[in-house]
Amino acid sequence: MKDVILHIRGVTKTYAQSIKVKGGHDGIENHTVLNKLDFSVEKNKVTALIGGNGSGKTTLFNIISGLTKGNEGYIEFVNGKTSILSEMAPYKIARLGIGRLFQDVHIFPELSIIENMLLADNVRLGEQPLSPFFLYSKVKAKEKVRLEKAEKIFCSLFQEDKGLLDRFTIKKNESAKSLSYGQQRILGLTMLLMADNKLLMLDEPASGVNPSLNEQIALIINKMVVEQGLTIFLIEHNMRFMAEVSDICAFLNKGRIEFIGTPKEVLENEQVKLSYLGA
Amino acid sequence: MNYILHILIMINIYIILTTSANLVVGMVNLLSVGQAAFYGIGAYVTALVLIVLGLPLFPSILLSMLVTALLGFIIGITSIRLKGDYFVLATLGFQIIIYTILNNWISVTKGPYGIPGIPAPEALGFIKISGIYGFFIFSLILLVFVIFVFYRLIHSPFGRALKGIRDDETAMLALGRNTTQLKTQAFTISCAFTAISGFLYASYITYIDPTSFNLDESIFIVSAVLIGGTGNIKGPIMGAVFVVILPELLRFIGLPDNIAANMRLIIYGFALCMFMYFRPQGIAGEYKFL
Repeated sequence: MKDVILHIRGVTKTYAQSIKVKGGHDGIENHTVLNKLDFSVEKNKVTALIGGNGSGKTTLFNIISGLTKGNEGYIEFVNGKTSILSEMAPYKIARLGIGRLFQDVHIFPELSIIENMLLADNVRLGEQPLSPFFLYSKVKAKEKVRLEKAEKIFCSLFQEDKGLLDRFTIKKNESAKSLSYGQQRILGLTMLLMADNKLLMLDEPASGVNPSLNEQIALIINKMVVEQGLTIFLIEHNMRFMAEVSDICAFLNKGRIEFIGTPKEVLENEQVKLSYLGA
Repeated sequence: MNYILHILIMINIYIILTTSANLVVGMVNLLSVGQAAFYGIGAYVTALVLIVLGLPLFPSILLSMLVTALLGFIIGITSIRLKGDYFVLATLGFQIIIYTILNNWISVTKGPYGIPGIPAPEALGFIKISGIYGFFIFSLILLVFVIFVFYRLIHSPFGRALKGIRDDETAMLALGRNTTQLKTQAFTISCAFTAISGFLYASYITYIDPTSFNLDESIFIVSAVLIGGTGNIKGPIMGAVFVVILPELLRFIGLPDNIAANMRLIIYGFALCMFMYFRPQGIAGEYKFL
């Protein structure tokens, strides 16, 4: 039996759209993005979600993260115990160990590279307003542990790429906005490891990134699964990258999963070719 | 000499105001235009505590901070979920409500007549804080205490979390941070320390009336924060020094009083426009507010 970490059950999402109706009057039409979607994400695997623009991939990720509410259905996260995500606030969902890399860069540009990493730690000791006064030495010790953890993550992820390792370690006190777009994406990905997450949802990790950084990202994803035992659920338009990193691929079309298989099977499927990949 | 000491005391009061406001305006990007209301509540609670209850220094300050923090917490939890302009409007509404109450609740606040004869606070039963030298040293001690507290807060993981909200609230939610709670905490702390300025002002001037805590004053405080710069300790200090010293410098130009008062406002407005245009991070801030 498959070991599943995330069950998506009958999730529906509709948006109200204003339209022009007969006679030039304004009207409202419901646009269904996700239509009773059922899907499961297997533990310790890389599952890719592909589909055309506007097919609802990011909407599904937002519903899982709690940033958008679905109209119907529910989502279960299984990690020892089962949690129903649809009823939880976004920050509580994240605390279960669900990390998210957004489609656009969501790091903290005014903070330094290392501060971005420290902020991503899931143990929040020191973030209570009285702790800098009454738990000063404990907070200081915890900061040291966080710093060591961040440096260890940098070293393990970038050991093959000296340039990137130097950028993130020697220049760690520079502001995150000084990084290039691709490096900011990598920082976002690296921050997910600070939080001891169980499931990572990556929204187009390879978009807007040059080929060498793409390789680096593929390597990081592989390490996350093999060495850290994480589960990855990703959205991707770059089929070469998707085929390289994923174990399972699902094709989302018209609000439902139309085909599931290995990346090779999906890419060779006639229906996927016809409605998404083109000739 | 007394004149210089008076200016220094006013600078100390305003540094406490701007440093407190910075925690909300500069650290979490919430433009609160109700700071003068909290300043006023701190001052009025001080006046009532010293006159009616006759409490000594430390219990008076604590009570003043506690009452203001409690009100700040209530306003915080109800308005902090509002985004951008809506939060500004909520704090504007609160500012107007408090001003109206101070102006009309005659039996407690004596309305527009104000409360005169606020006694000098006493510490430890034998130290009476009075005279311009006494108040200067007292305001300096409070200032050092406030700067110490905010320095620690800003440079702690709590401060880092607030800066995280300022930079990207969605990313903070995705990292498992209860951003509403963190913002409410920052707002409440800011209000509590604003009350210290109210305490100093009421006990130093010995007379308070609602016009010292109106909307103009709130805008003045926020302007001082933005001119000085946000996100660190230096910025709000520079801002407070700038806005208190500027009108004093205008005196030396020799303008008639009625023109000088208007000139002061024109220059503040002009300075704010110029700063937003040419130096959005303010004199010494680390963050561009707009």
